[in-house]
Amino acid sequence: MTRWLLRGLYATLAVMVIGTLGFAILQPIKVLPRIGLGPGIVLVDQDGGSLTSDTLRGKIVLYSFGYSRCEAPCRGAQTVLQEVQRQLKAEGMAVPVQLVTISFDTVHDGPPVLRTMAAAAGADPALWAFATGEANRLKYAIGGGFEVYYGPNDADGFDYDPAMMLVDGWGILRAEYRTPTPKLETVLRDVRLLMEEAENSEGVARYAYEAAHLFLCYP
Amino acid sequence: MYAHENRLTAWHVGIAFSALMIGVLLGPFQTWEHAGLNLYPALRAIGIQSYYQGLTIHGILNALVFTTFFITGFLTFAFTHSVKRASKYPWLHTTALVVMTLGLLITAVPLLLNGATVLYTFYPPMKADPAFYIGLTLVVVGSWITGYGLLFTWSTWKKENPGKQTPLIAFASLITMVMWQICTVGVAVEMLALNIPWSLGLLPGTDPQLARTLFWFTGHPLVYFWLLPAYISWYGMLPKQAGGKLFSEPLARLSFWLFLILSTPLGLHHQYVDPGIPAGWKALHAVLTYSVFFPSMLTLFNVVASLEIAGRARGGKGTFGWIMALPWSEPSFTAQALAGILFAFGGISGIANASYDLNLVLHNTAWQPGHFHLTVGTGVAFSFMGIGYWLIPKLAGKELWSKKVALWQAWTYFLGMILMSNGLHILGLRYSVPRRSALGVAPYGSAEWTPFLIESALGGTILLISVVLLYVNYGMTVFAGKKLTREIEMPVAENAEGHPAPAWLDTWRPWLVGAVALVLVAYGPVIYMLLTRLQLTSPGFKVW
Amino acid sequence: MNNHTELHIHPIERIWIIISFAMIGVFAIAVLTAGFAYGFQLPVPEDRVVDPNLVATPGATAFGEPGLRELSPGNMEARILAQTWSFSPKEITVPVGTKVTFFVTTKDVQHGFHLEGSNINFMVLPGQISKLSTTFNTPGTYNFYCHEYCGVGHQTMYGQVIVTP
Ligand code: HEM
Ligand SMILES: [Cu+2]
Repeated sequence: MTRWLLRGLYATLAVMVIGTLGFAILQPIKVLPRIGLGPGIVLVDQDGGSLTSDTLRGKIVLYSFGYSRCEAPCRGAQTVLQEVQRQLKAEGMAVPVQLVTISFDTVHDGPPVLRTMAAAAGADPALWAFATGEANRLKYAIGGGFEVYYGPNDADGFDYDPAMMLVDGWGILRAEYRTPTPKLETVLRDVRLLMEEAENSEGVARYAYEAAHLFLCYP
Repeated sequence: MYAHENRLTAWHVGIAFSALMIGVLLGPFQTWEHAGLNLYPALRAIGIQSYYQGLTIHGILNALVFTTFFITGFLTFAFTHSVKRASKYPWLHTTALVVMTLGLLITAVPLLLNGATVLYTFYPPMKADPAFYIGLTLVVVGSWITGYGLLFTWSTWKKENPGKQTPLIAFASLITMVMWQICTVGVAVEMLALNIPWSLGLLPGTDPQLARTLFWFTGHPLVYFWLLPAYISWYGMLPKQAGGKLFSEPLARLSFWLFLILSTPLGLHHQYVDPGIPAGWKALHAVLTYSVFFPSMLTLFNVVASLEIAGRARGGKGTFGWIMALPWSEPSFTAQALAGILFAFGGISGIANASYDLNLVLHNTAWQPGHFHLTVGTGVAFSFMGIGYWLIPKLAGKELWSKKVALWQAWTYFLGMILMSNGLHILGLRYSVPRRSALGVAPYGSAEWTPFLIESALGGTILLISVVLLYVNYGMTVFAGKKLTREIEMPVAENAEGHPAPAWLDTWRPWLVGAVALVLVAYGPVIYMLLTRLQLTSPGFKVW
Repeated sequence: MNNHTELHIHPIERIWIIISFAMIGVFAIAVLTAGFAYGFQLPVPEDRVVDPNLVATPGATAFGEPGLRELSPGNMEARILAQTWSFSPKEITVPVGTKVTFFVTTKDVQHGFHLEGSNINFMVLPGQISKLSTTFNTPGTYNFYCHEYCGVGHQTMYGQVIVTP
């Protein structure tokens, strides 16, 4: 009796230790941390259509920011997004992905200007939207929500901390790239991780993914 | 009997109390400085360059040197006299003493020459002289050797006494040493892999977040390493000194096992507000921290019940009458009983610290020194002083110089600590006053703080008187005491109920396996994450 | 060897044990409920790890030009750089009702950051950014202290938030 109790104890402990360490070290599943709830967003895209956080539910959204007259700080994101678009189209997407470039120059960048921006970037309208919105709402979403600063400067342009934000299909912020030079491999890796997670969001697999969160299986 | 062990213990205890004497004398200067009486310019004359060098010496000597030396000595003594067998390898114990003393001397040089003014937590990237880290490492290694010595003796004793249950005091001493062995892995890795090579210039930089995590891996169980020897005395000796018996020996054993399991996997509660540790793991350690509160609750009941047995045996009547009947004229008893009372309050402020969220208000405020002067500064250090009242006469072979002075010492310590810790608690909780700061010369003081700073300084002054009484008494006993006319035996409390502990409280393996498993689960993923994000980017800074 | 397995527990002690368990359970649940249901924030790893040796270089990170900025109406960010023995900026002024998110890092040793009378309390470590936010609802002057020893000038290291009506 006692002997079996002890064996049971050792077996339980062994499962606990091997499970925890195995998961944390081998990382059979990798996930991105859940940073927080993304902001609610109401935008108008280059065709005058509306683009809101509700219509974006279920899609993995990669947000970037800029404005039509923006030079250096917006370039880094642009090149990365072009490459992300190319690779995603080449691979095909199991889960829909949406790239959204938001212009915070609400006065100057109406839909016609957004269309030129999209064309200049070579954006595929099915995948990559250019959008803007009402000035105050945008400030709440980008500044308040994503904590990305921008504001008018003396040179009639904007001061802006270059950043891209990755939001999952549930509207949760999963990665931030606060740098003028985001790394393509990192962004692509993260988008793919989110696609995998979305594909495995039902049934038993879901629990394995939750475990990966618990055991800090971050890339 | 056991002349070799007694002599070694005398060395350990002597070094411990000598270190405490220097360390503790700096305490009142801190409280005075806070209240506006800055005597540090005068202390330059004796080589103390700043408030912070003084505070480093206070922390290192009191919390690391005094405790470790006293504990290794006291446990060697208690173990030997409990199993009634001389050490199997006496040379191991001699080696331990030599290694520890060597370590202390090596540490002392930079410490006293202002080369290691990094406080007792030595958080990198503040960089001390390499000798400081090497010396402290040797002190820990020496304490391990003491533990090995006890384990060898015990396994021989087991063979010589087949079927016999290990006596409580010996058993608890072993658990303390084994717990220490498990938990010091953290600081050993911090020292050997980061601090020592980095301070020698072999590493380009260090990772402060990883170093902090390894430090607190050891840093929290360190407090149980301090506390368990006091518990050994409260469970195993104090009931006898009071004239009673231990209420329940089996539950005493259970609580020591629980400490073995639960002491280590909860160090992240010192890092609730560290930016590099994920919230979920902080919460897990919070829950584990609450669970280690349980064996202390067991201890509270068991020790108080044992004292009640004693009080009633001495003729005490009524619900509270037994308290008055306890031997309050015996300084060793009085000191430990008063230490236990204040320790309970320290436990309460500790519950606030352990809270995942309340800690946001208290972290690194003056509340913290308020808290740990009740726990380690009183519960532990004051108990050790009380133990000294019988142990030092025993080791020196002299009568205690004055019981009366000893009683005055006990009550002044009690009063001084109440005042000082009350002031510090209020300053931290109500006014967010930061700890570890030379408040007297800070530009941000506020008039609202003054009454409590003065209360704490008054407490510090009374404590100074108490400490002077302690050392006069110890000194007179050792150097001018009357020869003992009787043999002093180690007090050993009997089990009151006569129910022996069940067999599962005598088997090591499941408890040990459980302890190691819990540590791996609670720390594995966090430490692995920190290792994968290792940033050896911080060069060293000497900022004092 | 004794072979019995039963642990004898005195009836009163049994009650005490039950009380202890209940108490610990209530504490743990209260603390975790408060922590998670009421959204107390603790600093957690930000994916914004910085190189402490470069963090103060203008242009390299947002801490190159530390200061206060409006993210959205009523919502500001304060980027504060800690170094021995000062915070920059040392003083920030915000109108009452403003939510301020503090981002703090250090370019040298460890520091601390505690805004008096608030839940803004964290360690400031090289290489990491600590972040917490609070809303200032009462006008006044609030000190923030460095609460981790950072060298002989540690006691001079503090700053102020001035909340204007
Ligand atoms: C005469 C008795 C004592 C007085 C008046 C005293 C006073 C103080 C004060 C005021 C502080 C806070 C300093 C600060 O945060 O700036 C302090 C810190 C400390 N004390 Fe004591 N103390 C005494 C005895 C003890 C004892 C017996 C111990 C332990 C065995 C102890 C261990 C410590 C430790 C570990 C610190 C923290 C040091 C640090 O923050 O680095 N003290 N003491
Ligand atoms: Cu500082």
